Amino acid sequence: MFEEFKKLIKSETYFFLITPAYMWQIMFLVLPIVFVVVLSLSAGQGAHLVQSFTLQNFYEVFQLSQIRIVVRSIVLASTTAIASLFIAYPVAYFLALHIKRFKFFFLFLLSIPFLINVLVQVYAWFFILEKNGVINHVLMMLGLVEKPLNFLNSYFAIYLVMFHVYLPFMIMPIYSSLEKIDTRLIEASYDLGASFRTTFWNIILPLSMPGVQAGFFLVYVVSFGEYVIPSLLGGLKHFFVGTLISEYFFIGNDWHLGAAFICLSCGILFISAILYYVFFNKITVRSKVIR
Amino acid sequence: MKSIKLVNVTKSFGFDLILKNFNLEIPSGKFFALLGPSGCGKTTVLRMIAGFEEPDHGEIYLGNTNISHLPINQRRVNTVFQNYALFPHFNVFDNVAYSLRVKQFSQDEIEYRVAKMLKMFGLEQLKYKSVRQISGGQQQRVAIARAVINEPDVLLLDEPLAALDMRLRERVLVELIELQEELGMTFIYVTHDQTEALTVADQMAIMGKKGQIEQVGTPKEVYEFPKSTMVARFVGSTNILHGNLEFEHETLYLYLDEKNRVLVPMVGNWQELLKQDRVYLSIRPEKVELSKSPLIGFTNHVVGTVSAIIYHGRSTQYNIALVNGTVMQVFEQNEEHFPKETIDYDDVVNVYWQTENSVLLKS
Repeated sequence: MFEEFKKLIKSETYFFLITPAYMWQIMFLVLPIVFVVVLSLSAGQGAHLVQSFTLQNFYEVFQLSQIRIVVRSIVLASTTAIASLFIAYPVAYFLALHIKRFKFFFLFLLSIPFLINVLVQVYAWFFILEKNGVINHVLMMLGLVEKPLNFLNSYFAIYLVMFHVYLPFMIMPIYSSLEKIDTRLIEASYDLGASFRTTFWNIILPLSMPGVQAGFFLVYVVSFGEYVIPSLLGGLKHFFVGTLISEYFFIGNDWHLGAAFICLSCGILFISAILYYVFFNKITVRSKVIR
Repeated sequence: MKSIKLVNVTKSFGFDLILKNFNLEIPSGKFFALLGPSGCGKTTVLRMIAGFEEPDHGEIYLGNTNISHLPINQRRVNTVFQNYALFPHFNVFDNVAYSLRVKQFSQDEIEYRVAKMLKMFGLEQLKYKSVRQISGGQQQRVAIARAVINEPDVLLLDEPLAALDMRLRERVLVELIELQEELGMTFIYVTHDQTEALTVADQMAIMGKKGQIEQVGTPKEVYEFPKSTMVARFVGSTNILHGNLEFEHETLYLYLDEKNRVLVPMVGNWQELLKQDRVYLSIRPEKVELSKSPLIGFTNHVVGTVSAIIYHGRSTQYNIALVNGTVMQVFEQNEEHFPKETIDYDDVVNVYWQTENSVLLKS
């Protein structure tokens, strides 16, 4: 079996079969990245190159106001990821280990958000949050407020909707890694005299860590560059990385500065992701120590 | 070292009634085997003793304490799981040390006791190996070491050899017997494999398909004197003859049909069975003698034709079709390279056995 596989790798058939995949990767991943890096290191109008090599774009981008936007995005992404982790874990836990009947139904409910476009979800929130929306209506009826509150165009709206949209992305990987845990391991832990706390901390948590990490980085990275939610619910006041990049490219028409900003924010995202990764590894190592 | 007693235990899952008024007493310090066909509820019994399931009705006693509803982690009972259930993210040492760490023993104490345990099971070399890297046999030792380090009153073994190959299985069986003698704990061994049960057990219980106890006794009692055809068939192989019982001239006969009759031992409650339409007689295949020429000194004799010959190596199995249609199995030891008489297909042979070697059964 393995020998045959080796032979296949050497053969021409394999080469022709793998070529489309490589082409796809080069065309739509490698080339755009190279393109962005080249743009960031040059100057000119739109996509045109005037000056071949310059660091001027980075000088401009490295300003406090720009860095502040990157940090704001990191705070948004971290908050979304951490908040959804704390809500998603219990949900995934009960779904995977406690619910025996109607499991399929609950999984179906969980997958509904995946079937609906983010844009549609955001517009649904519009109707809930707007001045004549559901929440204000209820508050008025109960006499809790005199005049309708303004929920839209605020950080509150952005954080709330981000949390809602990305929660399923956190639940699914955690659910699948919890589901894979052999329940006999949990029984064995109790059998050996462990309490629920010990069992959770030393057995269940470390074994579900791959799912936690997958979910966390999925939500963290995607919400870092989120464009739709902040621009629709935050109005024009609240800039994040995604909105600023689109501003550079489509309104300012300064592709070179935009590309430099992309490089900067990617770098910061990368570093912060590594820090989180180290943090998760520390948790995994510490959760093996029985106390 | 304590006994286990189940009193009137009833357990059902949803609409499936698994056990009904189940009673069983497991003596302390013995190697006890619980044997039964798959799906008979023997694992449920084990899981209730361990505490993974609670009985719907009835009580479970460990020694004199009622543990029916005691949480799992407070029972002095440990389990060796069928697939071992070793913690995959721990190494061998951490797996064995788990219960000591949970109980917050000092580091020195843990080191000392785990080292002793690993030495006893020959696992010192694998101390820091991940449990994923070691072989099935080694994993099994780790699982047993992890369970007995806690010095439980009772050790439960749920088909612990199912994942091992046959040769390893035989070796581990002997090791288990030695381990039980050394530790003196009560071992409860659940299996559907009758050879395993016969090998290891001091005492054994056979469960029927409906979750009832068919018979309790030593392996020898169960094998030689089964109380029902189910037990006789399940433990080892046997021949069951049936017919009606007649008492003539101070002798007890079983009539296979109008003409053919065999002698039946007059023990137990044979008088009651006289009223019954149909009774059964169990004769183990190795207790039967086969010959083409007539032999003397046997109390029972029937004639049949050879319908199958199966060579097993140390013995040969002959299937003999009797006149009334019943097929009897006979095991003959292959004592000689060149036997005096060779038996072939379709030969007419004489089948002999001694009356006291057969067992009269009610059902």
